[in-house]
Amino acid sequence: MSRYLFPRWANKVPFAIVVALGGAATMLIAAIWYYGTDKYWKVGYQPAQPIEFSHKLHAGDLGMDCRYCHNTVERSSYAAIPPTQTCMNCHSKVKTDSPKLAPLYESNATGNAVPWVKVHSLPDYAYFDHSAHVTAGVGCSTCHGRIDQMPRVTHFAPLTMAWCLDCHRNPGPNIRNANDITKMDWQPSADAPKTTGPVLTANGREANPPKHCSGCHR
Amino acid sequence: MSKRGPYPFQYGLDQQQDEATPRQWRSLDEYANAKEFKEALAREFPDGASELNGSSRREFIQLMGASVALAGLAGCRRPEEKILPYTRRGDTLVEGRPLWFSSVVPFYDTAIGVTVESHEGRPTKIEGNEKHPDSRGATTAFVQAQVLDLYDPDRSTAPREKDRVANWEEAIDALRKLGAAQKDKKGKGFAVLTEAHRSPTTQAQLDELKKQLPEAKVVRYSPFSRWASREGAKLAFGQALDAVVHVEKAKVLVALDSDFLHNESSPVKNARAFADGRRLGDGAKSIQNRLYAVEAAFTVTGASADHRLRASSRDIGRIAAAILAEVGGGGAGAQLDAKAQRFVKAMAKDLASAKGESLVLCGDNQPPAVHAIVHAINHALGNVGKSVEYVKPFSTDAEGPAAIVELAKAMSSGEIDTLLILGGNPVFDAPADADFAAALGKVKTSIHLSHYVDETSKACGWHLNRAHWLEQWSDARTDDGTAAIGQPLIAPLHGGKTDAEVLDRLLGGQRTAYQLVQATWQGQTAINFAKVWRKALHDGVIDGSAAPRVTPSAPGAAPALPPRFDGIEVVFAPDSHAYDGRLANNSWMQEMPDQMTKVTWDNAALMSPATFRKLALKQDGSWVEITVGGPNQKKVKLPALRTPGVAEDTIVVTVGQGRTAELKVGKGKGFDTYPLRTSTGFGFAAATASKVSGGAYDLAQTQEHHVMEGRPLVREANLTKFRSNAKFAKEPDAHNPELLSLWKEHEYTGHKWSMVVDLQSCIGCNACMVACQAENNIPVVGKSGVLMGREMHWMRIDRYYTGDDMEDPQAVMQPLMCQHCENAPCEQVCPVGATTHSPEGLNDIAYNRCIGTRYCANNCPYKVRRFNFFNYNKDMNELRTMQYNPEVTVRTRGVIEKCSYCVQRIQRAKIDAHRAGQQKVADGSFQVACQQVCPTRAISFGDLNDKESVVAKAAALPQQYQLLAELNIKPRTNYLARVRNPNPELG
Repeated sequence: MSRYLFPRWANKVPFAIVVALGGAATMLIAAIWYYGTDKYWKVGYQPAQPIEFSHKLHAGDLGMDCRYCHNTVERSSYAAIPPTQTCMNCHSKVKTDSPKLAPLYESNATGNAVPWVKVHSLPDYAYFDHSAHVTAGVGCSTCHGRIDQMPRVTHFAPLTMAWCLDCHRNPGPNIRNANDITKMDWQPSADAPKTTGPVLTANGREANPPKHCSGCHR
Repeated sequence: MSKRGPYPFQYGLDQQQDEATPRQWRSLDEYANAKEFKEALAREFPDGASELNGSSRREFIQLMGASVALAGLAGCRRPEEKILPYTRRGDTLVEGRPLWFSSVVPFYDTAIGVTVESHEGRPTKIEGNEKHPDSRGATTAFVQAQVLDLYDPDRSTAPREKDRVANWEEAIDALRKLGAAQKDKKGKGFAVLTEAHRSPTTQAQLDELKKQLPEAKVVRYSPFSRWASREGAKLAFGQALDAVVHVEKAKVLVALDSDFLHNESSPVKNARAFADGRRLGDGAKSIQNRLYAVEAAFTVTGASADHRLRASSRDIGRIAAAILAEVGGGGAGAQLDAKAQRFVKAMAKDLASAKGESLVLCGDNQPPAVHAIVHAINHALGNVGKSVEYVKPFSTDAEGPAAIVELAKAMSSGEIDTLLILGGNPVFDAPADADFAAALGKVKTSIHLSHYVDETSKACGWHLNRAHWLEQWSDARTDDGTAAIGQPLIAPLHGGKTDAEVLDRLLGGQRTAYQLVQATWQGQTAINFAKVWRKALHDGVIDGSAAPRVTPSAPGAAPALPPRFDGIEVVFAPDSHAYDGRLANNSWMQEMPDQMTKVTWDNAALMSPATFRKLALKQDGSWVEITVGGPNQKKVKLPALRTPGVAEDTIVVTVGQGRTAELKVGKGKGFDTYPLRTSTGFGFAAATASKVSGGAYDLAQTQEHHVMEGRPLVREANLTKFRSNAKFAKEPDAHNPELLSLWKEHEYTGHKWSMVVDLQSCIGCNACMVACQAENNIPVVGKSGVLMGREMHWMRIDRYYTGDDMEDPQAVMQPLMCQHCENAPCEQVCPVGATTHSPEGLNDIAYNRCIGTRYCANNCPYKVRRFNFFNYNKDMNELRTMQYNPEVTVRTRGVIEKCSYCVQRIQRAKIDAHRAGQQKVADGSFQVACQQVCPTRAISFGDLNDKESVVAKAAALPQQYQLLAELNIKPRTNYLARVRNPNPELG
């Protein structure tokens, strides 16, 4: 019987445990860091809708203006989903026999809403206002991406507070002319020469987006 | 619970008694400088606020630790949310932007025009209507609270026949059959009992009913109405008339037991006119009016008065008679004690010096004889046609307590066998000598239309559910007859019907409320009704609808007053929570501290400390039994409360609490004192009171919650002092050391939001508190919560008594909300940066960042921060949640909240200005909630950087001061000192 109860390699066990636990902890943190972010959960979110409405067809191929349907965007915080009535403006004549449009006609007949699935969802304590952004010259595609190329709407930007603040701290590159608001292929003029003086909004104000809490949280 | 050290600036309570500032105290404990009070000063929340009922905080954390562990890893998935758009969107509707509709609320025996905010079809907030003469943009606490009543889950949802839930088809069928049967009998044995309503449409239906059923009786009854004034006019002038008072035309005002600024007459209109006459802005150095109040207990009016005489209600008649004799209106006068004599002499001299520009008001509690004397006084002073005008009464139907007693007798004797009750709750609130419940039991057929299945509904054969005024087409006239149309904001949630509709069905009709209201007005418009109608709906008032003025003949000899009774008198006042009982189930109102006593959720027997001692009562909350005499003695037991300013041998009780109907909020709250009220002792009555042994009742009073210390908080002076030294309010701060800041101070280059609260105008009516609660989704915590000091109100109104006489002080009111300090102490201690400073000077809170350390509350010298000890919005009834303002986050457990200066309204105004291409928000383009509701315009809000703004001008007035300025925290809220206008003769 040797003097020692444990073999020599046992001395390494505590070290190994520490390393293993450390590694596991790092993995766990990394996993939460990555999978727990809004970016992971939101960007690319592309739920199926009750009607396979194609923005690609309507906004892209047919070239309809975004504001034909989302007509409250310049007046209200919501860019409201259009009422069934708006769809019926055309679809009372167009594709009336398409089975894909059955939920629409049902909604029109019964008065019950089409239950669209929400794609872009902000927390209840964040008060985003579409009208403030659109009139200042922040266009649709800045936050929603190339909607005109999406047969099914996808969550484009992470819509996290950090992402919002990036632009609020430096709004210049994302401000466009009022005429270009719905232009889908507009590119931020990152390499545009930096003019002196304050950044102006599309309607000629000095752009000074809020960076304090109550700007968005009430 | 943490405690601070002694206050650093040695200018505390003990030193307050200098000549410049009279002694101010909130409670009798503070008056006595009791140890408990001193302890409260050093706490951020009252003692016990942080204790969990039944177990300590340590046990709580142990429990919570376990439940967190169990909560586990559930719920990582993103929930799928649905968007349900409109199928057909209304013309004017834009999702996300509220719409505003004018309507009208009948209340106080008059009507208050309102505009109601509607979010996607949900009415959420009531505001006043600028164009309506009885509102002028403001409302009262009771009116504000009614939006909560609309969504009350306890409201009746269907008609009932006895206990069987029926439907409207059956009910209408029953009504039709009843009407047809009555037509055969010409209405013999049939009676209709209505509230003291103000609706021309309902009246038109009643008139039609009287035409078709000539033998039927129509009686009006509400526990509080102006019947006594009308009866008094009959005694004085020989015809019943409604007095329309013009406070703005009066330089000397005398309120005899009248709370005309708050609960009687047309309070919003009166309060505005009163405050306009005493505003000290723009270099004005004089006050246009002087108010004398003679009253039994402190009312809001008494607290605003320049002189207040404590007199029991039974003596008011004699005082009125003495005034009449003094001003040369005849009569023999009356014997008064020396103090009252001196007061009356000086007051009468003042009145006589302002002939045609004075006004004497008499409280609704006083009997018709006293009203007759007051009508005669106004006549003798030449005020008729000037500060007081007369119009024909709205209705000629029998009214008042005697009328309902007579009706009850007819019911008991079988003379009336069929009764239709439209609204009201007579089983609960009729005079005790009517014994209405027993009389109702003898009636063969009884029908009650009401919002709740209440005490009366239970006793009736049929209960019909009534539409809330926010759900119905209606109309209502103000005291001078100006009419407005009430528009529904939402379809009846439970299919209720209106008074007019029920009468129409009874008479065999089938018109909707809309058709009925239109029919009323169509008949009165010669041409282009459609245009008139649209304008009436838009403006919320019908042009030219005021009643023609009547010039009364000279009054006859003053009627004799009944002999004075000795001993205790009991006075009946409307409850500050439940009013006459109708708001008993309104949790906002129940939790709203009474204006003077600061009692929540209860009513008590208010008596002066001397009377309290006389009855050998031990402590506040000790039980006292009040007995009102007569052959059928009635007894009520309730807790006593020492209240400064109550007349000797007078006990004031409020009626309206102690409901027994199935109301989740109101049932069993407070004590029912209606059994003491008889038709002969309707306003006040001789009574006996005796001590009842058996401990003390806990009254949830907020008066010692959130107490502050420091240099005088309320600063006041009289007019002579103000004239000689307009900057008197700054004197206590004259010796501040040079204040240096530890921090680099903020610069404000854009807007610089600020509020100015004018203590000169504030009457302390609580309207702002309810408006704040409605606007900002502030929860209620219940009586037990208030007892522990957990009330959530973002703003409070501190009522201070001033003067050295504990029995008979004066009072001042001070609204207090977050002061939005520039060097905010709260911001500096938040460990997570949840409360931060905005570039415009707002003290922001990001609720989702707050971790609930409460360091900020601990460091706030104003004690305005509130902590969500529980998730008060959890499991909220879905109907109730419809009232929530969608522009304000609903807070959860564990976060601090406080006044945000209505940042949602600021942001809305900023966004609207930015959209229009403006850099800045124009002054006056928005109002904060407390500012908008204020009947006296005591609160102004705006941008200090805009030198032309109303708020900047107000803040530059000489009487401006700031609270606790000695701490160098630079509060952004400014106060304007109170200036009284006493009569030099009374000193």
